[in-house]
Amino acid sequence: MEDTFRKSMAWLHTWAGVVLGSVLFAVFWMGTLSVFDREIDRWMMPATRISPAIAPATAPISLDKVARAVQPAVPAGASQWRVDLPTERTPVLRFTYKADGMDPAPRQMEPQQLAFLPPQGTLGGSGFIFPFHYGLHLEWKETGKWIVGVAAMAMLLLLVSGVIIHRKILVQFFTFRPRKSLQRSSLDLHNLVGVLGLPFHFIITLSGMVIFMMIYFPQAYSGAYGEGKKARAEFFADAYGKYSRPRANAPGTLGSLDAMADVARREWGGTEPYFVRVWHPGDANSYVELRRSYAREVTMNVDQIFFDAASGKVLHRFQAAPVMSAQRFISGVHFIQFEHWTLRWLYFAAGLAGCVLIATGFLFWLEARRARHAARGLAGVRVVEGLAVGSVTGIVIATLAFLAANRLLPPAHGMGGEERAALEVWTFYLAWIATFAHAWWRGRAAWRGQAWTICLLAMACVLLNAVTTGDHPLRALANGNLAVAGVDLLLLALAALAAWSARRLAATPLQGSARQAGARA
Amino acid sequence: MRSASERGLKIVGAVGGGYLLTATTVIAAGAVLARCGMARSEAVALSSMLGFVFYLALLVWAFAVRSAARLWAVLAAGTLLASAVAWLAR
Repeated sequence: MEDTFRKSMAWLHTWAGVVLGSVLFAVFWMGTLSVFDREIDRWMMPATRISPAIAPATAPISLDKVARAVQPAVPAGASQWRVDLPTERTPVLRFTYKADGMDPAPRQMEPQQLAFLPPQGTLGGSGFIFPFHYGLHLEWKETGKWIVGVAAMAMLLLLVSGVIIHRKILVQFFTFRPRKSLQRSSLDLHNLVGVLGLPFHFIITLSGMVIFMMIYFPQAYSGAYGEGKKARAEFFADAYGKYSRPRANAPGTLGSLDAMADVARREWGGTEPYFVRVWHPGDANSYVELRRSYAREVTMNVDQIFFDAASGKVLHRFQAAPVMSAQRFISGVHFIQFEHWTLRWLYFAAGLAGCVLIATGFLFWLEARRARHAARGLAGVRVVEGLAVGSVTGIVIATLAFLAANRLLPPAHGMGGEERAALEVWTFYLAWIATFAHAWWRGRAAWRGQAWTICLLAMACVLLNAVTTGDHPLRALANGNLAVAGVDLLLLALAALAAWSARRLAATPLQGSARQAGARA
Repeated sequence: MRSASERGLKIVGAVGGGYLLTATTVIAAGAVLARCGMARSEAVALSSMLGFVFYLALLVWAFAVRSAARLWAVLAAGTLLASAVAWLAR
């Protein structure tokens, strides 16, 4: 692009960052929160705050009892029902079924009496924040996943070009001048978190794309398998495992699921199943699928065993081949569905470092151009500033508004749960749009205004949780409800950080950066 | 050489043309590996995963190359070659 390789990379770093920084921040922010999505679920679904002391996740649950408990809720002619068993982070069972194109919202079951909990009326962390992270909730033709994929490739390019344009990586790593101008300190911080987080950010971005390799290379199978739907299905069956048989349209019975689980445990060296799925329930050709838990390994294995529902005879067993196992390992590195609290916190910290990296990149771009653009009457800084404010502080405000709405809306009674969940989502998007409007209207002052808004909203969320559920952080801690206490304490930390930033922004003289501006193109 | 139109041509070439070359190479590599005796699903999974690294390297090169004409020529030749390999090995 430019005369030298380094200059080309600098140009690429600047413009890829400005153009895709907004999407990248949204993906990193939502991804960082997704590290604790189940804990956010507990916060947003108070009925599922079951203390581990009352119902330890390790207590064995009889699958036959589970089947008896859910069968009345399965409509006749359903194509499948599925129950995910409790885990260390999710103390409830999760029940879903599919029938005649119906795909109703999941329902939670309490693990001791196996009774359905009332609808929670929220998508929660795992239903809204986590899918936002990888698909932006734009489901039409996977548009969201493609936008995230483009941003992810840009992130890899930003990391590579960022390393190339910094000759003195080691020196810069030990340089942080927080009291210098905003331009200087934001660049120092950008370099510091960039180098510190580099291995994590590279691996997390690459592994994220590997998870969706069949979305991003949708025709990859066609060389080895040939074209067409049948070839595609054949590839997926070979790679991920698949068993099916048609309905017999005659009545059938369901044998002992516990006996099937015993067979599976023996097969898997003692590892528990993590979900049970019954296909064609009540039909003579009904069959049962058990999946192996990956709570204790990084690899998100796709080990599965299929049983004849009536006799319990094994129909099909599947384990991934070596390369696919590597793919499942790389996916597991990204998803961290295994149980490891130290690593979970490190992922959270490294994810936040990614957010800081993107935000300081925006800040440096703006501060380096502010004076020059003002002098020449260019609109670039104003446009990008609105974009940056809305995508950095704006999405944080929107997330907090989402949490606050969850505690403010009346509880969902009867089947009104889906409307309630939709209202929460609307709150998120309306708040986000409002932050963009505010940012373009107020310009640079919007940073400070929105930082104070974050501070107030975060404190309001903690207060609302205490008022509506009684679980203030001290009580949650005393009850062993670490998920709820953790979310509350992180909200308080966010409030403190936002207040500090707002005060710091007020102290920064507006011309502070003008003197150094114009040094860069 | 740094006119807006040439810059635009290069960006489109690097991102779109680079993707096309990568996707074709992934298909071809899957077919070739399967021909060499690797299980078909394994060949496809391996070539797909390596595809991301290939695309990244291609992008770095494409954004550094001087002339848009050269960029487009290499991408076109590469895509043609990969298509031919995929067709022969299928």
